[in-house]
Amino acid sequence: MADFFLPKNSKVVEGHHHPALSGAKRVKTFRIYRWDPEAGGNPRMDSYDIDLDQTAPMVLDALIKIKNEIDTTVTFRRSCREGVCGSCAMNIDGTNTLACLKYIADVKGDVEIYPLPHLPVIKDLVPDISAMFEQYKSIQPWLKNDTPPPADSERLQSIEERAKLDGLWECILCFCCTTACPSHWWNPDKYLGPAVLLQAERWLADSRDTKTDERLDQFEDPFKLYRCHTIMNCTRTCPKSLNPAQAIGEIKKRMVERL
Amino acid sequence: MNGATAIRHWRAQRVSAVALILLALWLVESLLAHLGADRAQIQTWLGQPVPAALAAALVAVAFFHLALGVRVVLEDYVHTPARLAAALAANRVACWALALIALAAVATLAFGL
Amino acid sequence: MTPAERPLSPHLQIYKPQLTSVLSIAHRGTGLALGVGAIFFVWWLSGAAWSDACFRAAQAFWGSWLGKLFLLGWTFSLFYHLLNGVRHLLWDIGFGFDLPTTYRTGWTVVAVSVLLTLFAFGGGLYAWGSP
Ligand code: HEM
Ligand code: SF4
Ligand code: SF4
Ligand code: FES
Repeated sequence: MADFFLPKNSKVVEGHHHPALSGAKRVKTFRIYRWDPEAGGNPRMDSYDIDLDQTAPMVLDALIKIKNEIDTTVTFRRSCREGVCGSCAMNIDGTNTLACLKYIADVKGDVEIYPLPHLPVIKDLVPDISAMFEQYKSIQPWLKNDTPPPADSERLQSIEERAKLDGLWECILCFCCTTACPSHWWNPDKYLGPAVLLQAERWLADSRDTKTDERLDQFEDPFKLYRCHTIMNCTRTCPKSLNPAQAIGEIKKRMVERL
Repeated sequence: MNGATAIRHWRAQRVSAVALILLALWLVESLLAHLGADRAQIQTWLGQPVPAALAAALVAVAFFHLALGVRVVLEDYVHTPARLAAALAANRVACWALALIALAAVATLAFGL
Repeated sequence: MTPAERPLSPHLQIYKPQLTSVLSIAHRGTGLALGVGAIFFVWWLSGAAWSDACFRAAQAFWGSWLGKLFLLGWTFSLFYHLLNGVRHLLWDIGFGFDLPTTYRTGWTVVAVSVLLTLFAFGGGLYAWGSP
């Protein structure tokens, strides 16, 4: 059966509480998923009270403050802190998003932070996303064209042809969408998931790519594409406001049109 | 299920859905019109050619659509290959059997057998 | 030392229910409920075709409290699954994918299926009570 429940070793228990420094006025509690591979045991929720008057506005700012000032062992990925690298994807307040783009003020009550859902956890908020990158590799995300490019220029596109890539090229591969998709939870090994399928459409839609048929051939499979049931959690959660569900719809249309 | 079958499966689910929109609305209307009807009244109703044809189409398409839908659900959730194969077979047999019984019943009523 | 076996991060347990996922699983639930309803329908139809006893048993069941409850469930299931099915078909031809439209069509489906259910079921009960 699909794993609807967490295995025993993955059940989350209550952890330690770190109270705010005295004198803090605007206190907000951050509850953070913790798991340390060296300590083993079950994951736990540690809570940290911090003073919002001393904190910059984003959830990532709070995480960095906690790591710098309260508990250096809290582990998470981040790099650009401006929504372009995709590193800080995590589950905040029940939905997947980028910590650097999520306002603390938008969360009512305690801020609950988990790693991206339904993935093996390496440590704390750092999940193993390598299987999804393998899936990404499987769609051959590069330009494929047997004819040589013009001798004196690049392969050019008209403005209209280029416009077809808008809404696709902006994807930062944060995998917020794929890990929000129940269908990918139940079949993570067989269903490619919204991020990878959006990328597949990015190459299908590219006027310079001539391998459309070959690319579509790989979706003649009950799982890779057709596990998408248009649940729309992907589009709902994409922090870049892209629309993976629509991109998947486009691929499904391409599939019936060539039948 | 192999490749092209996956696309055909998807398309068949949509085509049967389109047909079911009208057939299902017809069913609701007809059942409301026959509330509390006794057996003789149902026999008279489905003894007419148009209602009988629509009823036959409804049960055939509905069980076809159901079989396709349940197949998708099973493939989503059942991961042990042997169990999946058994469940898919049971689904096919059950949907075929129910569709055939329903068609036989409609035929009996239609031709007053 | 060998690191401990990696836990699986929480999913269903923590992901916020949202209109998108709730309506989707409801489409599946109502589809399966209609499948069960179809079995009862065949029971009734077979009774009409072949057996007085079977037909009367089916009619008596619809008249019972449990039968009426089932009928209410199937009425709603049918209207919801039909309307949301149309929503699916529109997505499949490329219409209504943007989030505002998805939410608008989603709430419309819920409201209209509740209204149609009340209308059909209420009307049916009324007609049944006063033939
Ligand atoms: C009344 C008109 C109907 C329409 C417009 C309709 C439409 C649809 C559509 C578009 C799907 C595919 C959804 C997806 O890909 O996730 C679907 C799935 C399904 N339908 Fe229907 N349907 C109708 C009637 C019925 C009836 C009468 C039954 C039962 C006999 C039924 C049972 C199912 C089932 C079990 C599924 C699979 C659900 C899933 O995969 O989640 N449907 N329907
Ligand atoms: S589509 Fe959006 S959510 Fe998905 S990987 Fe790309 S940027 Fe992230
Ligand atoms: S629309 Fe498709 S890809 Fe997006 S969440 Fe739903 S099933 Fe997953
Ligand atoms: S840190 Fe780069 S996307 Fe958040």
